[in-house]
Amino acid sequence: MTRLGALLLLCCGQALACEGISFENVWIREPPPGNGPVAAYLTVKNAGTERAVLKDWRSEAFAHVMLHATKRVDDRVQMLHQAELAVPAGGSVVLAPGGMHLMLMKAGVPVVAGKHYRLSVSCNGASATFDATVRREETSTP
Amino acid sequence: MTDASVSPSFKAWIALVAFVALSAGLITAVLRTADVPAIQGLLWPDPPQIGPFSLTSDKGRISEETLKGRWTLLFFGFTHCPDICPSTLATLKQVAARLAENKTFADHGQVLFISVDPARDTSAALAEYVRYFDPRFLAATGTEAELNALTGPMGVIHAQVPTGGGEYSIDHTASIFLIDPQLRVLGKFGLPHDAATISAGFTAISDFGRAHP
Repeated sequence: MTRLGALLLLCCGQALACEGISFENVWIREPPPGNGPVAAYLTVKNAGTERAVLKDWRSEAFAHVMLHATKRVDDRVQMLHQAELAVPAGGSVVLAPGGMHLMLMKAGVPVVAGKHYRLSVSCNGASATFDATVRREETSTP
Repeated sequence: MTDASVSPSFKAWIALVAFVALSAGLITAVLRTADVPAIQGLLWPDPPQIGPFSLTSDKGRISEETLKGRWTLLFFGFTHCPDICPSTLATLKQVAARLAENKTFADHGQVLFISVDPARDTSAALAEYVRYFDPRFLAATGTEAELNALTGPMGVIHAQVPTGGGEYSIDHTASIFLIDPQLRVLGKFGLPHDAATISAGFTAISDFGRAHP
């Protein structure tokens, strides 16, 4: 039994480490012309029983991906880099315009509405992937 | 002069003059604020005044002359800002659409985006950036000194913050300002930006401004 447990851990440990995590409402804002960074938004849900820590966001389509938070101080805004995203067991975290977002930098190809991109993230040490669709934003800042 | 050398009648006279001056000041203050309606975003009775400034757009200089005689919705930002800036310009596009039937905006309104990142935002790139949202939008930038001539009197803050690897972000005031045809900053709409609120605010503040030239 112990051998079987060790074998299971060896073969499936990475998948189990990210169990219960799902990525919903994922979208990338179609950027205006220019070579500036692009924002991606999503909801991370954790249906598992362990707190999930997400970091090292990546995408083959972008040279660099960072998690940022837009912080409001009076009527001023600051962008603050976040080293990791903690999602409590049974909880969720929303990345939305005006708040936390993924900053996708240096796209290899033009980012236009309708295109899909795959992103990955380290989730409690395991790798998880999800897809994002580019769309044009027409709504007010939440 | 010692206190003993002042006659009681002179003291009473001084007290009366002080009382009258104080009362006049209070009455003036009350009168100045008595007619201020509860309009969200209205800066009254002492709106900041825009002074001379000169910035560069792809169509030439943008200065106080560009604002005179117009109702201007003004936002400061930069194109390497991925979150608040495109969201705000998308909101301003909605505001412009909502105000299409407002005669003041339709005849005399304009939207101006000013970049506080002249090192990365050329006037040509800025023009392309704002026209993605609405071809009527204007955009400009300038040197630090040129920007400060406008941002200073308005109390707008912008400061570079290094983010590593030679890159930087810019902390900046994210309110949308409403400037009237006499260059008074009559309105200020803070975050979160909502198109319905700003459109209603534009209508109420421009009505108020025309009644208080």
